[in-house]
Amino acid sequence: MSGSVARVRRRTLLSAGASSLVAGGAVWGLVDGGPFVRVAVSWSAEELAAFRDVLARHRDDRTEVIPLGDDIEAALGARTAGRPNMVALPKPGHVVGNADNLVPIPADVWRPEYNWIWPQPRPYALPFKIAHGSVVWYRRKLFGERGWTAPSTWDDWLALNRKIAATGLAPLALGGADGWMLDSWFENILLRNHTRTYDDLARAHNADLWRGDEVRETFTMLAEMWRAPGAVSGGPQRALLQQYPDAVMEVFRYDRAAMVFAPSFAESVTRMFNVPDEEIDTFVFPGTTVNPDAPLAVAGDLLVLTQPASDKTLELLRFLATPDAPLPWIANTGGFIAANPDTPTTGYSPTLSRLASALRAQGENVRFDLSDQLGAVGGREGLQRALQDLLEQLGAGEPTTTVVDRAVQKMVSVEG
Amino acid sequence: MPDDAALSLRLEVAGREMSGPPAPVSARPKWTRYLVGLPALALLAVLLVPIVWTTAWSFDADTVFGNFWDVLTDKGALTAAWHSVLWMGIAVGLLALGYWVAVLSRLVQGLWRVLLYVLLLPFGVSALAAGAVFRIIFDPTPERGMVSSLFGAGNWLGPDLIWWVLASAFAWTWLGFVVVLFRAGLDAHADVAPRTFLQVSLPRPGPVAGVVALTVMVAAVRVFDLVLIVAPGSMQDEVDVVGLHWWRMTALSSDPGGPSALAVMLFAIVAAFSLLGTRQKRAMEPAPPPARHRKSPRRVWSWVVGIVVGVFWLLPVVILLATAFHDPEAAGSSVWWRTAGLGFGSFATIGSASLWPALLGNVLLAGLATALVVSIAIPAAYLLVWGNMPYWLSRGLTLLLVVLAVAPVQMYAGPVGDAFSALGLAGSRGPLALVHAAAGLPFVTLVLRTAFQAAPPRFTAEPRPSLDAMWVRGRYRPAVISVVVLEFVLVWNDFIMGFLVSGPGSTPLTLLLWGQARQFGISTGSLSAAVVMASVVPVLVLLVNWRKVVAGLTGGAAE
Repeated sequence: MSGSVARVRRRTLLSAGASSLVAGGAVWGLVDGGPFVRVAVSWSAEELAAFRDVLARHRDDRTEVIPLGDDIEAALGARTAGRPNMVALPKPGHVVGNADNLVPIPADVWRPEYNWIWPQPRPYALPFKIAHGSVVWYRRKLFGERGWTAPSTWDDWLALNRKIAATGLAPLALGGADGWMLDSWFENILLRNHTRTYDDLARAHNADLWRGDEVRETFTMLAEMWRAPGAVSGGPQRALLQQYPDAVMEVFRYDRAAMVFAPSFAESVTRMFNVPDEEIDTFVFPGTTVNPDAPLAVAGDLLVLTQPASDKTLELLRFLATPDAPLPWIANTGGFIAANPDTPTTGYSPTLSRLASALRAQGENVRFDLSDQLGAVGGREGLQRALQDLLEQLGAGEPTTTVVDRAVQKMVSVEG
Repeated sequence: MPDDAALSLRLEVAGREMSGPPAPVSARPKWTRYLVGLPALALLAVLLVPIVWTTAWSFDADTVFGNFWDVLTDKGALTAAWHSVLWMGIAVGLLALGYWVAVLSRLVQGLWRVLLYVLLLPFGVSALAAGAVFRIIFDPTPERGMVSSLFGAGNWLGPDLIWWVLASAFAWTWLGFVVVLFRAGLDAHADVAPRTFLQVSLPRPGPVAGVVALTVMVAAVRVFDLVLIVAPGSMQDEVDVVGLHWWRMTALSSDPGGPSALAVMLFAIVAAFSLLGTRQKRAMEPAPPPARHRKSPRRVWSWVVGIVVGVFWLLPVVILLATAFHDPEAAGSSVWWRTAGLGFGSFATIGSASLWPALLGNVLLAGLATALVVSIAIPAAYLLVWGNMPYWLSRGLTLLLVVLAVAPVQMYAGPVGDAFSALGLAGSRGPLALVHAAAGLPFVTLVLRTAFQAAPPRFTAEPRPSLDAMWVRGRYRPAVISVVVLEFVLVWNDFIMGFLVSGPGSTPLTLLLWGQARQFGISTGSLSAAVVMASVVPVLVLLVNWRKVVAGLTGGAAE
């Protein structure tokens, strides 16, 4: 009797001890942060939630997502406090500079289709999500009613803008608070008209290239389009306070503008605010002449592993590299074009589907977003700042040559 | 003295006096009593070593002062420094406003009881959350931003007006703290002659004024997360401040010299301020017999001012709640008073973004840091007051604490961050709680020291009270509760420490907020829901305990 009591008591004690150990472990796990794989991303809000949906299907869901926003490159620095294990970043330019802190991507997840994104022999970055970066979005119904047609050359576009502005509607919406949105204007004009200069700028840091005629011409074209009376919704000063989704909303929600130049992931914004797909149409960013051979701009989020990569981290990378991994994102949030060519595309909206096949049809005739390859030169204090200043000075009524000179000077000083 | 009888009775019931040997404290060998201060010294080392390290980094091997010269000739750094000076101006304005409201509040007792809670509520809200609320109010999109929709599209976040938005958010957070402490000081010194300035008589708030002014000034110089969240990307340079500039410098260069020099300069400025602050102590002459207040026009005005301030301070709370109770789509595209899209959708979005683990994680982090710092600071403060230390030692230690209490995070974040990375502690909460405790130790010890010194004569008539008496019910309790509450709220609301020391992953709740903030406008719904969820706990903790907090900070003046 007493023996069994003792046994029971011992068992109770043991199990109590075990459960308190487990509970203590759980509490310590929370205090300690636990054996997480820590992934830094630049996504926020809807896209962030979408990435969490993706991770939720990973077998070992002990992943912590750290949203770093536009300061994502800070995650790679050697002196960054608490460097994450994996970084999803849109800026390959920062990968090259930090290669010492990184682990190469295992060969078995690499696809030859990725080579055009990562031409270097040793791949440090795995493309996960890509975007068509040469798309101008417009309201299909409005254009139909007014008899406007999508422009095919730069001059057509200027003429269309004048026509639209005359009706009291702003032809363009800009999200100048997100400097990258202004960057992509500069890059697309350069890419679609002077591909060689674009490649030179991407390849070599050289202040002389920024002094060249083609760069100056690009800044001038930009300034002339933006400074036309009534061209920018709300005026340049307010455009500088608007972010990229706000610019999309100016067109598709508030009816204040007719067109917005934004990458294909803008589809997630139109979807969040229930814009019917048949309301949306797009055209390719026009060059000065019709040139079907001109490359398209592509942007993307690349997965990078920091030193030392644990097994768990590699496991997570392998999971994200599978064709089906991004399906929840495609189904629930949208705006996602999978980098993996085997990912089923049936979940794409008609608009996104069109953009994705246009991008695939280009084959290797695409270029990665220039500013994202330039590191700090293309960053917040570089090209972004130069273009924000340019827009601000246009708003203050300064002459085109002055603002262009300053933009060139700024780039020369940043590069030099 | 029935109170005293009850007190001593309780002490015996608590059993502490009985559990140890009954030997009187003074009979112990002298050196052993300093042992209770050892944990405090160890914790201070967590702060001091990296501070020395940063200072060493700031000096260049070849040119010695090269890094300082670089900073002083860097246009960006100078602009940031100038903006930090502007922030001090904002702090002075806020102090004046707070003093005025405190003086007027004494004429409207009925209203004060309500006004007090309205003013104190935002003090429990983090700077990140307060900034988010004000950016929502001043959103430049006319369909969404309240001010833009009422007054036409103004560029409220543009180069000139953004300073008003930042100052309003800062004032919204801090005014309650200023008013409540000034008020407590005024009540305690009601029998002291007012000072006259330009023929206006200014009642004196007493020594608490120095503490309030110092706290607000230091908060203004250390502004970081507020600017980070309020300013759109294109405006970040226009409102850059020293703390932020430091962070951008660290992210851009691998050489710690420049940022360290900047941090040392920032530290030197705030340290000078705080040392000056401890110097001003003036004797006060007693007041002539007070003239009774009659119904005067001042009283009417006090009501008007009180109600206006109350409405303005409550409005952001109303806007926040109304916004949060809209679905993300409605909140992201229309202003808060629209009834379309009312619902819990935004909370659901936040709920799916690991809200509950984040809340629990924050409770553990703030709880652990608070427990650590308070249990270590009590013996330290006890030693400072009753340790029979030589004067130079206790004075020196106190000054050291005063200086460390205002040390900016930038002064130790670099080396501590390196240590965290090297030891693989990134994202761990235990070690982060330790750093929090170290950072809070100087302030907490100073508050406790002041409270212990203000102990009534019947306690100090004895050689000294026992150390155990500090923890149990009695005279010292308000001070202990006040530091517990303040430290808990401070750690709970922290953004910068977790962000700079341990990487952003370690403070889950602010991370949740930050995660919504990159595409600010369209995320208004989930962002305001996150602000509400992040603020409930600290606001409640603060409002429930505010009396004790005030009593603790003013050395019992309020009770």
